[in-house]
Amino acid sequence: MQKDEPVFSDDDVVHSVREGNTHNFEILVDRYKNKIVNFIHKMIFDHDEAQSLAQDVFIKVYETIGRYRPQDNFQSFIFTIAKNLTLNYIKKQKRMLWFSSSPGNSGQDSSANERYFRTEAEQHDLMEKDRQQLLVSEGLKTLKENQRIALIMKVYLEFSYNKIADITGWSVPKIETLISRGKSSLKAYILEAQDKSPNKNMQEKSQLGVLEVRSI
Amino acid sequence: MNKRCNEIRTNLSKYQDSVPGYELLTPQMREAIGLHLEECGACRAQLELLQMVTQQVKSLPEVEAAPNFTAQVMGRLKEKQQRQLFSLPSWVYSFVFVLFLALGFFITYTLESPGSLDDSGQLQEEMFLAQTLTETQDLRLMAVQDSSVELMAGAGSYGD
Repeated sequence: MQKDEPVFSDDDVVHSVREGNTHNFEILVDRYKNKIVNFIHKMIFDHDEAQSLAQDVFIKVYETIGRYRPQDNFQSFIFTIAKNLTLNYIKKQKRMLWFSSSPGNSGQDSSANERYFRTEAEQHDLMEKDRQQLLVSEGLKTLKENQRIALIMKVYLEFSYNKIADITGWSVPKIETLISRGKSSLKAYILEAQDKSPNKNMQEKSQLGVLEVRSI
Repeated sequence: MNKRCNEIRTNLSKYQDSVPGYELLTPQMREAIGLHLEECGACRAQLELLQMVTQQVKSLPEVEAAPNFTAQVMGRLKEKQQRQLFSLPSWVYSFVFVLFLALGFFITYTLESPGSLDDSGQLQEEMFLAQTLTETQDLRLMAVQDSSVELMAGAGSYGD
């Protein structure tokens, strides 16, 4: 008998759950909960909503586990559901903001987004490190949803292009374009924000060659 | 920024994401970009900016699932299963509805059709009344006949 506990593959656990051993679903929840919560959090930047939405993802996974084919990758399966539910959530939030905003502000989608997302940002202590992170978070929020999904999956979760294609159903060239445009937009946002900031860190900028680039 | 720099910068992200074994650019393009970056400080700075942005996204703080996350998910699943156990499938509700509808039609049709139970009962009652009336009339006739016979008999004895 081996000392270590046997490591069950995702497919083994899925098979067991399908046979009626619902309690084994716990293994899958434990295995993926942090990844899913993190992904959703980086998409919506709301801690409580990310937790709640991640729970919905697992409920949906359980309900649709019959559709999972063993030849597919379970991680892709679960992230596809997470992506879809997150996009639905964002759409719903945007609709709510659109209806709650006055007619004069209805067209200002990005400002509405900022207002919604800033609630959590306000809770942060604006220390320098936090300020940088906040800047990146704010920059990510300004990206189009598809760009954000592609960028977070590639850069933050370190998924390969093929895996992203598997999850999203997009072609690899489309993902390349989304990531490239996402990085450019984020870069432009950060530079602009640093420019406007009264505490801009000139030393850091010059180190990065920002001033040199701007002069061109 | 010249045309060459512009072309290079549109491919910088792919250049950055290309790893051995997974090339997003052809070897020729990769080599051309590499050579250009050695010569052009501005494009090199752009690549550094992209690397900085990527690094900042990577270093975003990790968020962990709540301590009771798994328990909550399993609790919700259990609750859902119990609800499903006590609730009947939708086709049962449809079947019961159709059944009641059919029963309603049947009762309505039976009560309103000609020659129904009510009508036949009324007919029997009328026949009974007619029969009773005839019998009463017969009895009265018989009584009249009897009384006239008695009168005639009385008259005969008075004459005696």
